[in-house]
Formats: sequence, C-alpha cells, structure tokens
Amino acid sequence: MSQSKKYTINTRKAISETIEGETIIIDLETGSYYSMNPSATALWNAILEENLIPVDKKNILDFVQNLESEGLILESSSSADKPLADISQFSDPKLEKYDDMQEMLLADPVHDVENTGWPNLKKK
Amino acid sequence: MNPLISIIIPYYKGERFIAETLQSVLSQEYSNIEIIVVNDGSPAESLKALAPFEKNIRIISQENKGPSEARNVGIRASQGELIGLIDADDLWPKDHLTLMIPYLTEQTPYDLVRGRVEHFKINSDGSHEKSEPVFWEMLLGSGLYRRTLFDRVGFFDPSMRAGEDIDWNLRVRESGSQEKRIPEVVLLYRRHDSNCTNAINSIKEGQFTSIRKKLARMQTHKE
Repeated sequence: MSQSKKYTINTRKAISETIEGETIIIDLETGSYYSMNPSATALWNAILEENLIPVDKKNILDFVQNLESEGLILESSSSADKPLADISQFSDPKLEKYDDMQEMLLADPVHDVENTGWPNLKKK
Repeated sequence: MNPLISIIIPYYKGERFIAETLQSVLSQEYSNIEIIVVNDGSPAESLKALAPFEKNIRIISQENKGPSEARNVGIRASQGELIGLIDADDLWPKDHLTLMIPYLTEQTPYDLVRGRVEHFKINSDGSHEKSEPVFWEMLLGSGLYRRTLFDRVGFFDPSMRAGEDIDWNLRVRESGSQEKRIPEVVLLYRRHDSNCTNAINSIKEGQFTSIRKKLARMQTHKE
C-alpha cells in the first residue's frame, strides 16, 4: 500500500496565484517568492484541495519536504476523507525561490490585516 | 544649482487628505518647483478640495485610467529636470527636497536618491502611531528622480492599476541605474483603517503581476 500524507497551505505566510499552469507563491513573512512549473502546480493544487499526497516517490517527497521546510505548507491532522491525488501529474515538480524583492513585497498594506507588516511599530 | 523640480500627484477622490499633502509640498524649503495634480476622473465634488490651491498647482484632468497613467501624463507634461512623486494622502517633511537635490547635480553620478520612510496612522480616537524609519523601495514618494531615468527605463505600466510602483522599481534596478540612499526620513506614509478586501486583492494582484513580468524579463534575457 502506498504511503500518503495530508497537508494544508500555511495561509499565515503563503499566498499563491496560478496562471496558465505556473504558480507564484509569495511568503508574506519573509518577502521571498517562488515560482512553480506545471507539475509542481498540480501538486500545489492537490494540497490546496487537501487531497492525500502520495509520498513514496522520492521526487514528490523531496518537493513536499522542501515546501514544508520553507514553511509554506503544514502537515495536516485532519481526518476528513479526501481522495488520493493523481500521481501521474507530479512527474517533475520544481520550485524556484527568489529573494530579490523582499523590500518591495514586505512594504505593503496587505500585512496590516494580521498586524504583521509594520516594522517595529511603536506608539507615540 | 537651482533646478526646476516637477512634483506629480495622481488624484482620485483624494479630498480627505489632499490639503495636508499639498501643504507639505508647498512648505518645502526649496522653492523652484512646479506642482502638477493629475485628476484621474474624480467626481466634481472631489475637486473642491483643490480649489484653495489653484494658484500654486496645475491641474490636468483625464478619464479614470489609474495611477500609472496619471503619473505618466503628469511627468510628460512637466518641465523639471528632476521629478518628485507623492500620493494624495502622504506627507513630505519640509527638507525632503533640500536633502536630496545635492545628489542629483551635474557633478554627481546618481540617477535617483532615496530616503527613509516613516509610516504613520491617526486612529479614530486621535492617537498617533508611527513606525521606525525604514527604506521602502517601492514607495515612490521616498525618492527624487532625474527625468532621464524615465527616458531610460520607461514609464509606469498603464495596464497595472496596482503594483505599478513595484514593477517600475524593478525595472529601475535591472537597468543598472545608480541610486543614492540617505538615512534621513523623507516620506511620511499614511496608513489607513480602510484597507478593504478589494484594495488588498488589488495589491496582491499587482504584486503577482510584477513578479510575472520580472520572471518573463529574466527568461527573455536568458534566451
């Protein structure tokens, strides 16, 4: 029997957008951003839908562990009954990380929502 | 050296704070300035707030096309060697221009100067909050720019209604332009309570668009 795990997106940190099979993720806490190829996008969408992710293939396990170590996803303890994701779409998932826009991506009222965006906020 | 500085303010329904913004620009220690307010299709009611300043500002009106096109129109219509940009709710300390002009003379190699930003918020109970001074590269009001910079890197992308500042700053950076950073606070950036879902979604969309445009440029460069 194949081994599988369930994950959720760490919505405290990560926002994502997919256009034409390419997903961009922004880490709101660090200002890093990531791009994903179509294979990785399929995997990310499966996580978004909280499907079971088969992790007995090394490339999938490596990828998921990478997302986890970046803090973009969390292992889920949900017992909700969800289908096993279709592994055929996950042939070559690739995640590329970029740190060259941190100042710009952090300078944004988006973060006011959770009171995390103000640098060293202090009251007069 | 006494260059003319053009200050461009995109204006859309900004009546709540525009008087404070204009006052902060008119209070600059440096006086050789022209102020261009580009009314981006605001209703007539919103224009009343500009009336007390009519002698000091030039107003250009256009149909609502977003802040990118408003700034572009203002810059194209302006005469100054140097360009300042400020949004209709933010404030400049009175030494904003005097601090930065010395780095944009004929003898200096810089294309733009940037100073620090202090975020401030006035709460409904009248209390003030402010942040530590920081560099926020994307905030256009924290810089002073040579006109030639726009000739080289282009204008703001009129198809973007949010995030156009990120996109433009990325292009500035990629162009190899020389930036001077000074430690002083040159922009007081107003935070609002009214960060409604629509505004936040539009900012997110602008961030994603800027990133995609940048990755596409990187790809083209590789090819």
